[in-house]
Amino acid sequence: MFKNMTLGQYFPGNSPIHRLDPRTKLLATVAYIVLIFLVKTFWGYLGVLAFLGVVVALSGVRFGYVVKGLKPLLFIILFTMVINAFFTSSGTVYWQWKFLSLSSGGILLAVHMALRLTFLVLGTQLLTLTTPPLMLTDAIESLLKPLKAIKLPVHELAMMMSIALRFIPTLMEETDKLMKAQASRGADFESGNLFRRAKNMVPLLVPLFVSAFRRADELALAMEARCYRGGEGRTRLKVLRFTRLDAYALIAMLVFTAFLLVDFFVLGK
Amino acid sequence: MEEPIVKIEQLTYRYPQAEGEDVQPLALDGVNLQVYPGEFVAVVGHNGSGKSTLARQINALLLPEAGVVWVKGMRTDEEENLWEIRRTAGMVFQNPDNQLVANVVEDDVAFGPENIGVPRAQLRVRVDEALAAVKMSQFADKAPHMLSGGQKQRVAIAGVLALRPDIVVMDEPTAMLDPEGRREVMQVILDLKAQGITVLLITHFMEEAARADRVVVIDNAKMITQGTPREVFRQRDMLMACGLTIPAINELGAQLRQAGIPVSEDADTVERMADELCPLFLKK
Repeated sequence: MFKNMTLGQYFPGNSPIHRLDPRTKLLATVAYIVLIFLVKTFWGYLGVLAFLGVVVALSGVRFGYVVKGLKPLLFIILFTMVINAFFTSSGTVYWQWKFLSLSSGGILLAVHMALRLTFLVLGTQLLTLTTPPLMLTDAIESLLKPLKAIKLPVHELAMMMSIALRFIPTLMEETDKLMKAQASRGADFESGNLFRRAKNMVPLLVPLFVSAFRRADELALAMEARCYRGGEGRTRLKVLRFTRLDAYALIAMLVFTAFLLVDFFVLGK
Repeated sequence: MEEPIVKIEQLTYRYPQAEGEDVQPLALDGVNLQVYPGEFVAVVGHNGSGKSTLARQINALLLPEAGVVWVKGMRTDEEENLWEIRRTAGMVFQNPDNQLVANVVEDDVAFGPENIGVPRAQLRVRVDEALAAVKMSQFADKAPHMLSGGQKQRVAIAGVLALRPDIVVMDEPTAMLDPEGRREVMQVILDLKAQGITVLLITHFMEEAARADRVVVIDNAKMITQGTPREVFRQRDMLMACGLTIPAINELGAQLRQAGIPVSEDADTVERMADELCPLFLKK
């Protein structure tokens, strides 16, 4: 059942967004996250929406697919809204009961938070939708390289991430096999409440862990046999390269930033 | 004769003793073996006979307790030789899943050469050559988990070939495969031999050993005998005592002889057996 599952949520394609250097995408995403928390007016949100719309259209990912990603986070967004609305009291107070209150300031903040979270999810999703996981780990390794100076094992971290990604499908398949083997001997993974179901998973986790350790051991041996000795002196088959596309992306990001700064300092006054 | 690629002299090894346990029995006991360039040598033995330990000694994953292992003239117990030995003697393991490192086939094949710092322009060439040698070129951009067991094992072999080794040591590469995968991998091994690459195959499938130039029998940490497949499979009782069988065709010949039908020991392929049996049948 796991055999054909796509890893992460990568949406294969060859759009300009897909072809961007993963480092550009990663940095742009980080900048985007910071920027959306600067938005003060509804004109600002409109701008963010327009920006996102253009990027999604360029990426070739279906709009419905992007919006679907909000679903698992709907609860958290609503929860944040409620908390912000009832626990903030500023501006005109409409209703109060002990420490709970409903005020114009609170409602405004709640709407702000909900919009920010929504845009946050939609935007960051685009990164994982258009970048294969392995490219992301490459980008992280490349961007963190300066931290080697403070003895952060950057290469090792990236290697660990990519091996973890490599073994997700393998371990999924194994879980599937174990579940079937145990179900055929009467194990029950489906009924009962959450607590009970979690408890029933224990006999599944033990053999899975044992086998994962054995795999790790064998993999280490195989890596050593193929002359692996850390990142020192390694060359790479595929290297990341900035192209003209990345320059365009940079310009787009600068325009976007300028717009949001105007929103923050001028319109937001 | 040429210098051997692998020369093993009086090799003795035992696994380290775990705390609170008795001293481990010898895993290898005074083994001598030479492998010459271009040879295809099969090492057979039942589980626990020491054959996998022998394979790991050649790649310097394990080091001798006594005796010496030379790979292309380099002693495995000299630290400075380690990486050159591992490049010279490539190693393919049993479980295809646990030896593929990367998420994409070609990245995995590139892993070995990347480690030894091959320049990028040459990396591409090596990867393409290695994939072509195992006929997996059309899978270069696939993810390993989408491949069959036999295909994964072929990728693993390509990953070793990309290091341009002098000898490929394979530790039961077909043990976890289905018959189709086993056939694919065996074909790759024969192709490698045809290209002049030295292969040391550890196996317990006698049909695979029968294709080798030389068969080495290991039992209970000792080398029992070695010779051409025909010479070795003639010694049926000795093999049985080692917990091994002989290939079905040799077994058939042996049983026919026991029943008083005079087939010769040379009848070790289906064709030769048929050639010998038909005249006997017609004479009746």
